[in-house]
Amino acid sequence: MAGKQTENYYYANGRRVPLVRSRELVAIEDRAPEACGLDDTECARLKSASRPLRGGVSLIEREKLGDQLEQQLDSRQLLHPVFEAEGALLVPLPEIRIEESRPEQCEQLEVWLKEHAAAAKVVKRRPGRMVLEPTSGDAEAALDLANKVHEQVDPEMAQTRFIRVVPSPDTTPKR
Amino acid sequence: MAAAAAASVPAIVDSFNAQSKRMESRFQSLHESELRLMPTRTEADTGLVTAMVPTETVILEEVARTELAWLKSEFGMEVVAEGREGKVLLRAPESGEAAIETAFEAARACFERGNVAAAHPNFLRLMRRPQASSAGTETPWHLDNPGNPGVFGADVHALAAWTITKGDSSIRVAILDEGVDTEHSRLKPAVVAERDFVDGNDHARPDGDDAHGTACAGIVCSRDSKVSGLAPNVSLVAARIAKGDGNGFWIFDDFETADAIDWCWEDAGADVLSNSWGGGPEVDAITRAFERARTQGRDGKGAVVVVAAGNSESPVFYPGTLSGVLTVGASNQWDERKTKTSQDGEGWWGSNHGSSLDLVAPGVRIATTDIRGSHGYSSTMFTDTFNGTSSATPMVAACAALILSIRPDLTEGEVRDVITSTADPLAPSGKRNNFVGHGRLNCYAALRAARRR
Repeated sequence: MAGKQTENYYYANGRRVPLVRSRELVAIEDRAPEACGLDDTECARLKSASRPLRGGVSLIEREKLGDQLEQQLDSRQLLHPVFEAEGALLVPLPEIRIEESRPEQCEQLEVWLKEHAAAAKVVKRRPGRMVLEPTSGDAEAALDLANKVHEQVDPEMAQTRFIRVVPSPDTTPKR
Repeated sequence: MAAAAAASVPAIVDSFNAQSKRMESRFQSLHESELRLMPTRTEADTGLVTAMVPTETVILEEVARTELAWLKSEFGMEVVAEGREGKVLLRAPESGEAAIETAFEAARACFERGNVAAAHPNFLRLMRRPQASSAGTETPWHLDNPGNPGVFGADVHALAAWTITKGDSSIRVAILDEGVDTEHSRLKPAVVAERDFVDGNDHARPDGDDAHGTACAGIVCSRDSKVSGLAPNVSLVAARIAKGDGNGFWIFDDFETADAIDWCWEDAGADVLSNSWGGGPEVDAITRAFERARTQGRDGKGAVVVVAAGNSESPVFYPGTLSGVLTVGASNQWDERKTKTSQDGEGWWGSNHGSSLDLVAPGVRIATTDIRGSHGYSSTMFTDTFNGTSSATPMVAACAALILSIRPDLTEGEVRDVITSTADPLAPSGKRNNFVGHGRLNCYAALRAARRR
């Protein structure tokens, strides 16, 4: 993951929002240490080094992992990139929401889904809305898929799920 | 006319002294029941008011000699003093209650004839000298600002607004935040729905020292007699969408936030959504959820969405950048835009600015509810130091709820229009600008405008 240098972005209100990959931080799934079969000491070390977010992931400094463990975790899709944008940290999760109410675009979307069945699966449907997951389980794949849907079908919404970290309001006087 | 005024000065002084004595005894006996007859401001502890005592005199502005002659012939009103800028003081010929009645009749008749710029009875005011603020003993300044510190009347005019309504329980305000202490005794009676979109609990109470949402909720609907919300009789919906990480950051899940917005208007029936959060780039999931709230909420009349501008004295944060929402900045006790150099002395934050800023509301040292226990902003159930556009936002949300309490038929666009068009201008030009929007929230003016609409 450390070596990925592709242009990162997503769409909002029809415009590209650029994402800058954090060099220092990465998101780790909370189940990662056990899933990789790490011993209790290593599990405890990683847990104490990480800051819990939501959606079953935590933030951790890349240097706390080391190259070998990072590769091991990455190969199992247990790591997610962390991006910086407009003063916030954004962590994509392997989930895409699509909203489309226009019949013609709905048909195009179904065609697109069939063509990309190997890469994306529909996990939930409601009228006008659906939730996709990348078959790889990879958060970056979700980001790419959402962009592709946007560029090729242009539905009303196609968005990757983000965990967002922003400064909380400083609402009390300094003591 | 000047001669008449000079000759009458001793008489006026005598009259004033006599009336002062009468007022003193009357002031002692004025209680809340009389507030409706002579409404001004309450003294929280005693129910006493600033007394407005009618006199036998009338003030006219820009009055012609023919009009003075008519008043003399019809009511026997005599000119007793001439003020600056065309003001004239007239006195009725009788004494006591009869003179007061004549003065009132003369003022009304003169006003109805329409030949003067102003005609009204002259009142004497007796009010308590402002005391230094101390939390819990006085009406919070944002509701009623006595000018200590600050400028008299630099507030949302809550006391006047409450003569119209304190809200209706059928109107629901949603607080989307880091949780609300829904077991807080001053909030619990208002709670009609709550949901935790962070941890999936069956309540929306916060974790640890997350006190922000509880403070926001109190500004809307605290049912405390002293630290009251602006709309204490409306109902509360609590949606927990964020949590603190213990290091000064908030963690959101954009999809859960969008779901929370949808839940508020769709399932919980929220009429107003108050959002004292923001930051980071725009995402369609949240934008579209707000759009649904605005267009599909309240059976198609639209839920009112209110959003904080942000506290970094920089451009407005998302989602305050969205069109169709009410984006709220902060003002201080001096009716200034809150900046790092404004007179309040809080130099570490300033209200954000931009073309999407709609108005400002008080946002400095706001008294409100605090989470129970010792982990909140204070060690009591209340705080008087809540700051930021976070506090200004629920004030505007509360005003929207009061408007809907008396005019539930209005669309969300009409509510926004009423609120922005009745704000007290703060810009030197008197017009909207990117730093104070249309001005400072005036809840009383908004309610009056809504009633007439």
